[in-house]
Amino acid sequence: MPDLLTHVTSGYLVRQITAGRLHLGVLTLGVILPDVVTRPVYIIWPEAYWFVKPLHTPLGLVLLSVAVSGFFAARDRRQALINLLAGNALHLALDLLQKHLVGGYALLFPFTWRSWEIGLVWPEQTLIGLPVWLGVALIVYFYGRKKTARAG
Amino acid sequence: MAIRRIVLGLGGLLALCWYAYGNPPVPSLADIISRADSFVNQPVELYVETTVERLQPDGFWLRQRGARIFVRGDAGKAAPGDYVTVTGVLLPDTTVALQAMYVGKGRRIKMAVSAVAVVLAFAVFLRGIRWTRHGWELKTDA
Repeated sequence: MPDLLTHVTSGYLVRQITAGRLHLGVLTLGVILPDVVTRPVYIIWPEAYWFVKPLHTPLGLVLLSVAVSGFFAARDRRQALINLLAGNALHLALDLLQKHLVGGYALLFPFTWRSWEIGLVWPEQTLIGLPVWLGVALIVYFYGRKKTARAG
Repeated sequence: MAIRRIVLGLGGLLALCWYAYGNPPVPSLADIISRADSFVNQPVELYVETTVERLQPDGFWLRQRGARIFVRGDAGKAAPGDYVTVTGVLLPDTTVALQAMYVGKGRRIKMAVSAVAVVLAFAVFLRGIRWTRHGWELKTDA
């Protein structure tokens, strides 16, 4: 996985690109969800690695997002689910840019454990690009504020 | 709140997790060591939270959970404590002949950066919703 700051930044940029049609808070939750519900668990308790692995697959994330959207009030539930799924999809899309020696992302689990990746960068190499991502996000943020101030 | 939706989602998820736990694609190091006879001369892949324990002139000790095994080959830039991925072949003396290795230099920095991001993400999420007796509601300006 790329680091979560890269994931969060990508969520913010996508939200800006879509002209605010997505809800930043729920999209951000969707973006971090795949790692937040898996990594801490198996870092602390490695025996649980294969138990939590489905939480980082498309089917597992759909089920998880359906469950999380159930906590929202009826009028916002559909929008929350769309935002959560958009965040999940963005997370997986960024992850697929990576390469691993073995073990990758089982997109078709539970039908197969076979993994697919585009294979552009090693997992830790995303740290090198992080300052660029953050820089772009800050520029977009301050540009947006300036625009809003002018309009207001 | 939609209790049925939450229960259905979590129930399906639990079934998936249970299935995955019972059908892992690769054995753990502990499994390989305990049933070494069935893995001799077979390829092995060690990547689940696997770290270098100690370097020796002809190889290095690898640790995964509580189990450890000696890997014969060049450790390259790996240092004790580094997270690694190793592929190789299990030898009759229950050591591994190294074929390929990836050293996750920077993984601890990545974990620290990610921890900061989690705090930021939850702050953004909590700023974007309000709590009501009907469940969480989206704030329109977030």
